[in-house]
Amino acid sequence: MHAISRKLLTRSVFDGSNAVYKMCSNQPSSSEAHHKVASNFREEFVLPKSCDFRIWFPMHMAVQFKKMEGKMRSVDLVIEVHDARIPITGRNPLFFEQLYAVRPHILVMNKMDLIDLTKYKGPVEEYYRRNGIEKIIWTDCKRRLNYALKDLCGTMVDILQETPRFNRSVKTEYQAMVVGIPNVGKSSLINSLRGATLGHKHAAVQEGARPGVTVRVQNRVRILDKPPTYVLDTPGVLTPHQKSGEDAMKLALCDLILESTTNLQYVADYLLYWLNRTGDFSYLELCRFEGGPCDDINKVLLKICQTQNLRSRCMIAGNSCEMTATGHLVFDEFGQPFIVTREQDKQKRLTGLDALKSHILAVRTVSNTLRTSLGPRGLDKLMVSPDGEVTITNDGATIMDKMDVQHHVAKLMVELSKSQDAEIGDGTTGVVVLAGALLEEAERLLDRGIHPLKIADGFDLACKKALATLEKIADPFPVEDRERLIETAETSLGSKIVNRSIRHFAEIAVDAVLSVADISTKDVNFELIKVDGKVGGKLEDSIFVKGIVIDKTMSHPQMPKEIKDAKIAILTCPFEPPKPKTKHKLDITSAEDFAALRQYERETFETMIKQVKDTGASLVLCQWGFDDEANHLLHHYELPAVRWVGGPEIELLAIATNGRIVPRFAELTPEKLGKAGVVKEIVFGTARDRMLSIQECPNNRAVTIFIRGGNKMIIEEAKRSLHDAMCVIRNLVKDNRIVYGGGAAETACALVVARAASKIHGVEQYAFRAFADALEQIPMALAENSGLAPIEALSSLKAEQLAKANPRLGIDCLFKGTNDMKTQKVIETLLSKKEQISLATQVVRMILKIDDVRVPDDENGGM
Amino acid sequence: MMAPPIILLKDGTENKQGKNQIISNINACCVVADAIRTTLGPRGLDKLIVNSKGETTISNDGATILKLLDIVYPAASVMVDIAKSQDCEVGDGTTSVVVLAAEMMKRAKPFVEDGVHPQLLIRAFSKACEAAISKLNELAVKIDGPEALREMLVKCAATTLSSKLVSQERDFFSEMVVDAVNILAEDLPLKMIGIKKVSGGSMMESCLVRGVAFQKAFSYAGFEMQPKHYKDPLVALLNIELELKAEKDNAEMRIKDVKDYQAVVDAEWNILYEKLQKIHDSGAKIVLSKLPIGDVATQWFADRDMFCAGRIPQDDLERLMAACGGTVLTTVSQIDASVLGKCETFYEKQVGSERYNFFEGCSKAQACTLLLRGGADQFIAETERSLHDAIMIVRRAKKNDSIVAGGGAIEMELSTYLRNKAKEITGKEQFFWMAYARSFEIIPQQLCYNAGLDAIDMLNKLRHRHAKDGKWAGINIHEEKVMDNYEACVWEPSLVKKNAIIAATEAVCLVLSIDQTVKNPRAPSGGTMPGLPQQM
Repeated sequence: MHAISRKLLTRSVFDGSNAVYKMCSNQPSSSEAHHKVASNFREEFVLPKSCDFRIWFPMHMAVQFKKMEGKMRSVDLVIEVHDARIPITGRNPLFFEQLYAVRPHILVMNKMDLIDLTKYKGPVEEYYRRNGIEKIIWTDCKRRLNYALKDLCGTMVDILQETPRFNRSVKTEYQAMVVGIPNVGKSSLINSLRGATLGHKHAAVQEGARPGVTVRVQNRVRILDKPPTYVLDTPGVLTPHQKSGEDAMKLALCDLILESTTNLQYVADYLLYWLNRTGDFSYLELCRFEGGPCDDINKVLLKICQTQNLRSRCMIAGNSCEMTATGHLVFDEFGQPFIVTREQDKQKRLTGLDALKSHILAVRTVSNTLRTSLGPRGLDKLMVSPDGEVTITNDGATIMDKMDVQHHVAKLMVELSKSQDAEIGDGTTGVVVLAGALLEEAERLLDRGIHPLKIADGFDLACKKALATLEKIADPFPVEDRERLIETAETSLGSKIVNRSIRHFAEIAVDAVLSVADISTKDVNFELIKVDGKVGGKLEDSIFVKGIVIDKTMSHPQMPKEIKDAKIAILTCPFEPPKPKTKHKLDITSAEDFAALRQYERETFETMIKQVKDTGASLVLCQWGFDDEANHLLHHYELPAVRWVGGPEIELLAIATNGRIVPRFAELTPEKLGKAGVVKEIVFGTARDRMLSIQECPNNRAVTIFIRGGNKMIIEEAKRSLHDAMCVIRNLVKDNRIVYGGGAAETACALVVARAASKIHGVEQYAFRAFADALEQIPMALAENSGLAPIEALSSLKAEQLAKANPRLGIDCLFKGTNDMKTQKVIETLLSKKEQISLATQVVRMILKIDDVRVPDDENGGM
Repeated sequence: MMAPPIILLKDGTENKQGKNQIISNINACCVVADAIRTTLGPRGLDKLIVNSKGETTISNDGATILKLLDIVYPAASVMVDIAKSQDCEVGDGTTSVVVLAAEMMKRAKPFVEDGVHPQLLIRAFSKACEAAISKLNELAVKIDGPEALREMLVKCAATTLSSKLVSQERDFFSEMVVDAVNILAEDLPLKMIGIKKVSGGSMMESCLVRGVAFQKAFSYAGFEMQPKHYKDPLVALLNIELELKAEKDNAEMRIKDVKDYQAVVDAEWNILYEKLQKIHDSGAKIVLSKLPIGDVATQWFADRDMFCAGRIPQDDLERLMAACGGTVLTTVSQIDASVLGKCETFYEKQVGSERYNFFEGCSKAQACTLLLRGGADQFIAETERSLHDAIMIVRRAKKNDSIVAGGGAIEMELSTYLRNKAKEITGKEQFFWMAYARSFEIIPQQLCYNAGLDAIDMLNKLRHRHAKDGKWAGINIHEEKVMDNYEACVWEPSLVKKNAIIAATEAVCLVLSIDQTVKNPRAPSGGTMPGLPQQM
């Protein structure tokens, strides 16, 4: 910030003196056009009457000035320091009258780093020479340029030694006094002189970057050894009466007047006026100011705010209070920004429209990524995770999940699709595309200057209308009709990788859901459906088992491979001698003891097996393992067993077989055994892959889907697709109303919303219409992905829907020759569609409502 | 010669004093207020703040934003404190208190610059504050009768919610909040309203559970076999681990004989079984424990058609206790029906992707749970904050049943009143009163800015109406015009305003009375000091 302002100041010397101005008038570099515009600008800067330009004149100035006069007697040389940016204005005439008229005098132009020396040095010196001032030295105390200081020292010594002494007394030392108006750098000059000549690093007098640091005539400071020379630091003194407000403005601009005593807005206004008058249009570029020069400070401040995000509520013109705040911020570029929050400089902050625009951009980037995955002809995305795992999918939620989005707002979109996934399980791509489209429309409206919340309100209204429309066009669906359910599942699977054997998978999905569904409470517990996969075979080989498949085999290879009418003991205790949980130690001191222990162990095994046998069990499923000896004994007693069956599987087994999980052998009773019609080992392919399937269970509520496929990725993708399909079926069980897919429902909603828009009062109307446009993005994307001409397809679709009043018409993605989705049997659940639209609207509202973002700067907001 | 400097403070200590100090403090406070100014009112916008850990918060709540801003400027933290105190005391109006305080300071600034002694200002402001409060009390409308009271509460909640993310559904949520608060016991303990967040679904699917609901705890094998639906069950609340485990951590046993081995094992099992049996005998159908319930116990309960859940969070358990009665037991030796809780129905249901346990129709019915749904986590988090504000408001309003009209109406009325009163004052205090009176106008003004309305025009209309005795005239943002906000049912509890005015005035007085700051240098790693010139 500082750097910018310095640059700005450097380029434009704020001096009102026409002499200098005329001499330099052959300067600037801006285009003719700018000058032409600027020629119409005001010729004179008039301060409003209300502005009191009697400037800052604190008490200490008058008092200390008297004191300085008193000290004059012992002073041999007066050094007047002035600000090089205003070489002519603002010099205190009293200095001449009362101080240096009778003393030798040097004029030091400090802060020369802030002006263009080559351009101004000559004219200024020329001006002063004509006014009888010879000794002008240019310095820069901030950088402590050696040559400048040496120059000053040399001049001082020359003058001191050449001019006659005014002090009659035989004094060997010389004394100089530094005078000037506030904040021109008197104290800095002394400190740097001392540093340059005596090599003292630390400051002898206090200095600061604001006016009014030195308020007393200081004790003298030694600055030269040969001849011994001292200087007196004095407070800056202004004249109480300035000629005009313009002078006061100039001083204020260079921060020579206490900032809080001036009206910042006028100062800023003056700066603008001056820049325009001198034809310096560099501010346009500096403040990234679009359009030509401007003469209205309010407009300029507004623009600056917009481009530099200084303030958020700058959209509203004509409020005076806000303006002062902006004026303040502009001005702070020249003063010091003060730190209010921790690590303010390390935070990235975006406000107002910019924040909104950047969010919209982020969201659109995300939604554009997903856009091509929409619909049955949508393409897949391949993603490689950091540890090299490859995922191929066109499921929106999965893509978003794996993309590892960094941007904070794009993360919202990820969550959006996740929540659609969690709630509905389908339509995750659609919801993101819709949200992106809505924001795109919103951006257009923002550009027209509509308040973001009004847009959001309009969207909300439109959303309600769309939802109502959906309810109206929804058809009831016969959930009992298995065939129809399969068709629905096919729609969902249509865009997925499994569409080669779509019918097969659709059947699997429907059967699975129907067997676990509780029709009376409309609840489907997915935990009862186990989806498992194994590499090898074709997708078509996937099977649906009404029962359980576990990836385990009999513990002993010679145990029977198939058991009919099995009675199953489900154990969660190991086949081994029981152990107490308390830490224990068994001391064996003799061979007898050892034999006894062996005996005990064997007996325990036998009792256990006997206990199991006694209940009539013909199969043991054990959550834990047992060692080979136990295995042998089991085989010996012809008790087939399976070990290391996982916890969830045990549970599913118990539910399926109506058995009870038994934690101890002692508790085993015949009633607690589970029953299964067939338990058999299934062998896959030539590889020795074996699994155990337990079928024909008394309770059909636990089922397994077993997927085969060429490689792991296909299986995983097939699992995801099935999950989506099952979600669709579940939603139908929950709520049996449907709408038609292929963009039909969206188009129908868009038509209704667009029609309703004209009846809305207020600005919301625009948002309403925009909502309709956004809805049309879905069929548009569908058409695009299917290789149709999107606009043509959409417009003919709209026309047809209107003409036939048939909300079932959609985009014919699969080129079946008809666009009646009812005949194509492309249907979606009402629940899913409603959820999509309302979720997208919700998230858009949230994003539109943000106008201020603070992010730690190291996060690059990667998209 | 130069006098040796007297070094009083450590090198690098920042020491600022005098008038400049007051002014720069005021400036800092104004900057803080500017940060949240735009969140005020129904058209206020949200702020998105990402902290250094990368967690995102989107909020409209003044206190939340200020907390996250991490303000280091010493005087500016006063603003954070008043926002916090407003949050704790009333729960809402955190933005308005900060904006009001900043405006008062801004009005005081020219006086300080002109050399008025801060104490004079402080005295005048305090007096004016007293006058404002007494006028406020006079203006406040008392609500009588249960029907009217409920209606009032709903309206207050709706006014609060109108500035939040959920404003479109404010009617829905305000009913919900009022119902929730009405369930609570006499002293309205906030803890008894549980708020559960489930992402997914639309906001309208949020619901109020008259009882307790919590997410299904981690479960062991056998859980699915337990029944998930009970009518009129008894509920045992425990703080016992029901697991097969070592009874004492550091115990060690030496077993001489192999036969003893079985005995020890049996003993351990029996300890657990005894516990389980006792619970069963007490008639409890549902067993909940703060500590884990192991697989053996889960299966044992499943065997007896009982439901159990372990690792229930403390606050859920407390709410259950409040709702169902009963006590949390740390031993089962005394368990009987008298210490068990009761509820009408218990069931497990899928909510979004989670399964939730619901306890409804509880016997004591003094706790409830709000189940919030929404698109994204941040969305629900903000909804929760909004509802928290609304709950606080309703709680407050219920205890203190007088209201005033919102939308800047009460501020304008107070401003008018103070201005008239100021004219009766002789001496320069009159100016200070005037300034104080004017600062109230910032609230309607800011409301207008945020809504994109012409503030000056609106303000003039408001002044006119108030001068003509339209004491409840305020800005109706939704209609975008000046109207009677009492009629329009934009109501706020008078307590909110009272607290805001007092807090803001106190903050102003505090800032005005600071004339020196001494700040010790930070450790070398720290950033630059506030106020020091930045090195180029």
